Amino acid sequence: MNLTRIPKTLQPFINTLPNVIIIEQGKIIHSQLSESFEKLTFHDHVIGLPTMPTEELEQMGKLNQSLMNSTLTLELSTSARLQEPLYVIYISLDKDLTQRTTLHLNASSQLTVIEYLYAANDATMHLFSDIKLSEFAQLNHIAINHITSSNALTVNRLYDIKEGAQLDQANVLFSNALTHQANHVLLNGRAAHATSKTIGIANKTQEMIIKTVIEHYAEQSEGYIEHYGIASDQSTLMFEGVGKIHKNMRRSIAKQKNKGVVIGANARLDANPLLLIDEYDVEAGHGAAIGRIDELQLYYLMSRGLSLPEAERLIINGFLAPFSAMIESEPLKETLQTLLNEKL
Amino acid sequence: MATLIIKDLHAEVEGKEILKGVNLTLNGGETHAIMGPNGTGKSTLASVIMGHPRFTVTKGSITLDGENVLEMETDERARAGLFLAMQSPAEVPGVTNSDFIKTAMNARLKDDEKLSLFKFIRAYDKAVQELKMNEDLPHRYLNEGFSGGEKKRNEILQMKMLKPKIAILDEIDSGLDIDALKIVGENVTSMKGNDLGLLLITHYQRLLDYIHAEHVHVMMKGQIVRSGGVELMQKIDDQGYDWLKEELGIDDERVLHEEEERIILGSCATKEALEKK
Ligand SMILES: Nc1ncnc2c1ncn2[C@@H]1O[C@H](COP(=O)(O)OP(=O)(O)OP(=O)(O)O)[C@@H](O)[C@H]1O
Ligand SMILES: [Mg+2]
Repeated sequence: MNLTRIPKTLQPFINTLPNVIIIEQGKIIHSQLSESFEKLTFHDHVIGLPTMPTEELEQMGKLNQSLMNSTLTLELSTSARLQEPLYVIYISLDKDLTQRTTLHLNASSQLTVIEYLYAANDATMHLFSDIKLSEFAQLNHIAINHITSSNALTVNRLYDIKEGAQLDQANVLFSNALTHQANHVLLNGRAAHATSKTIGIANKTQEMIIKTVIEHYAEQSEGYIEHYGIASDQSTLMFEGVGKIHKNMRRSIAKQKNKGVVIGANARLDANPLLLIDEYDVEAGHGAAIGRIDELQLYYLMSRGLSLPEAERLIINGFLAPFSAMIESEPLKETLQTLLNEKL
Repeated sequence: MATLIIKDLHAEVEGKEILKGVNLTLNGGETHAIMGPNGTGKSTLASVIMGHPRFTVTKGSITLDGENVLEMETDERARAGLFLAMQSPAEVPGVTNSDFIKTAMNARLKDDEKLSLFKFIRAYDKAVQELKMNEDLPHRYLNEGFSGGEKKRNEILQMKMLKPKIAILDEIDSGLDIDALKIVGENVTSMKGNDLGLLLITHYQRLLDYIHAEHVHVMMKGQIVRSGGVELMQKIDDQGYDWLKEELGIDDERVLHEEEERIILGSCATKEALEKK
C-alpha cells in the first residue's frame, strides 16, 4: 500500500487492517478485500437521494447533494453473510469534505462496517449516509470520527430498516470540531430492531450536539438509544434522544439511556430524552444519569491505592468499553484509547 | 510489624453522630473479631478507618505505626498498608477486574519496578484458582452483575494481590455458602503470619471456625462495650445479646433510633432524586 498520503497517526493500525477501503478526498486510493467480499460491490459514482422523513433531513440531504465532492456506494448481495469486518477510512487533508455514503444490505445479508473519518484540515465537513437494510439483514455499523481541527462537522444518517432486520449502530466522536450528529432510524418492518450508541467527548470550548431518533412504523419493533458523554473545560455537550412509536405499532419497545460525566465547574452536559408514544401496548422507558463521577466508585478504587486522577481515568475509560467491544482490531482499539486519553 | 491504634474515635454522617468513642489497638500478627447487633456502627468504623467520603471524624485519632491516618487520603491509606473488604463493594462498569487490580498494584511500585504483564497474569491466575473463581473473571467488569458470594471472593482476591499490613474484613462471610466460606477462610488464614493484622466484622461464630481470632469485641451504640476472647463470641452465639445489654443497662443498642434514621434516609433519597435530574 502506498502510505505517503496517509497521516502518521493512522499508520499503526491502517497497516494491520485485513479488509479495507481508503478514500482520500473523493477518490478510492486503496482497497484490499479478501475473497469472501466478492458479494460486496462498491464504487464512487453518484446516486440519488431517498425520500426524507423530516424537513430538516430533506434540507441536509439537498445541501449535501449540491456540495458533494466525495461519494461511496456499497451493496451486499442477498444472503451474503460476511463474518470479517470491513473498514472504510475517509481521509480529508486539504479541502472541505462533503461525503455521501450509500449502503444497501439486501435480504438476509450480514455485514460489519467500521467507518473511520480522519480530518486534519481547517475545513468544514458534512457527511450524509443513506443506509437500507432489507428483510432480515443484519448490520453492525461503527463510525469513528477523529478530527484534529476545530472547525465544523455535521453528520446525518438515515436508516431504513425492514422486517426482521437488525441494526447495531455505534458512534465514537473524538472530534475537536463543533459537532452536530443526527442519526435517524426508521423501523419500517415488523420486528425490526435497532440499537444506536454514541459516545461524545467534548473539551475546551467545543460544542457537541448528538441527536438520535428512532421511529417505529411497525409492530413489535424495538429501538434502543444509548448516549454516553464526557464534558470538560468550557465545553457543551447535548444529548437528544427521541423514541417515537406511531399509532397501532403494538408490542414495540422504545428505550434509552443517557450517561454523562461533567469535569470541572464550567462544562455543561444536558440530556433531553423524549418518548412520543401513540399506542398503549408498548414498553418504553428512559433514564439519565448526568453529573460528577460516582463518589462511591471513586472511593472503592482509591481504597485499593489508586490516586484520584488514576481512578477517574479508569472509570472514564470504562465508558469506551462497550464501543471497544464492538471492534476486533486490537491496534484500532489502542488508537481509540490513546485518543480518549489525549482528549481528557 | 504494623500497629493500628484507634483512640476515642467519634464520627458523624449528615450531622448525626454514629461513632461515640471507639478505642482499639490492633497489632500485626493478631486477629480481632468485632460483633454487634445491626446498626451499631461496625461498618461505620471500618469506613472511617479507610476514609469513606461521607463520614466526618469529629474527635479522636487513628494512627498506623505512629503516622496520622486521618490526615491521609483514602489512596494513601491503602498504600500505607490498610485494606478494607467492604460489606457492599461498588460496581464499576467498563473497568475490568484485571485492569483495576493491575493499576492498584502498580500504584504501589516505583516507575522502574512496574509489574510486567506476564508476572501479573501469572500471579492473578494463581489467586483466581486458589479462590476457585471463574476463569472469565479477569475480563469481567468490576463487581458488575456479580453474585453476593462472587463479590466477597473478589474482595479477598484483591487482598491476596495487594498484601496489606492491616486488613479489615466487613461481613466477609455474609452471602457465602458453606463451601465458599471454607475456601475464603483458608485463603485468609494462609495470609496470616507474624505480620498481618486482621479485623473481622461478623455476626456469626462460624467464621472463626475457619479464621482463628484471639480477641473478640462487641459494639453497641457506636462504642466497643465489651472485649474478651473467643468465649465471648461463644456466649453470644448461644444466648444472643440480651444478657449483655442487661449487664450494661442498654435498652436500645442501635446508634440511631427509628425516627432519626428515617429522617436521614429521607433527605438522602431526595438528594439522590435531585442528583438524577
Ligand atoms: N451513609 C450513611 N448515611 C446515613 N446513615 C448512615 C450512613 N452510613 C451508616 N448510617 C447509619 O449509621 C448507623 C450504623 O450503621 P453501620 O452500617 O455502621 O451499622 P453496622 O453495625 O455495620 O450494621 P450491620 O450489622 O447491619 O451491617 C445506622 O443507623 C445507619 O443507618
Ligand atoms: Mg455493617
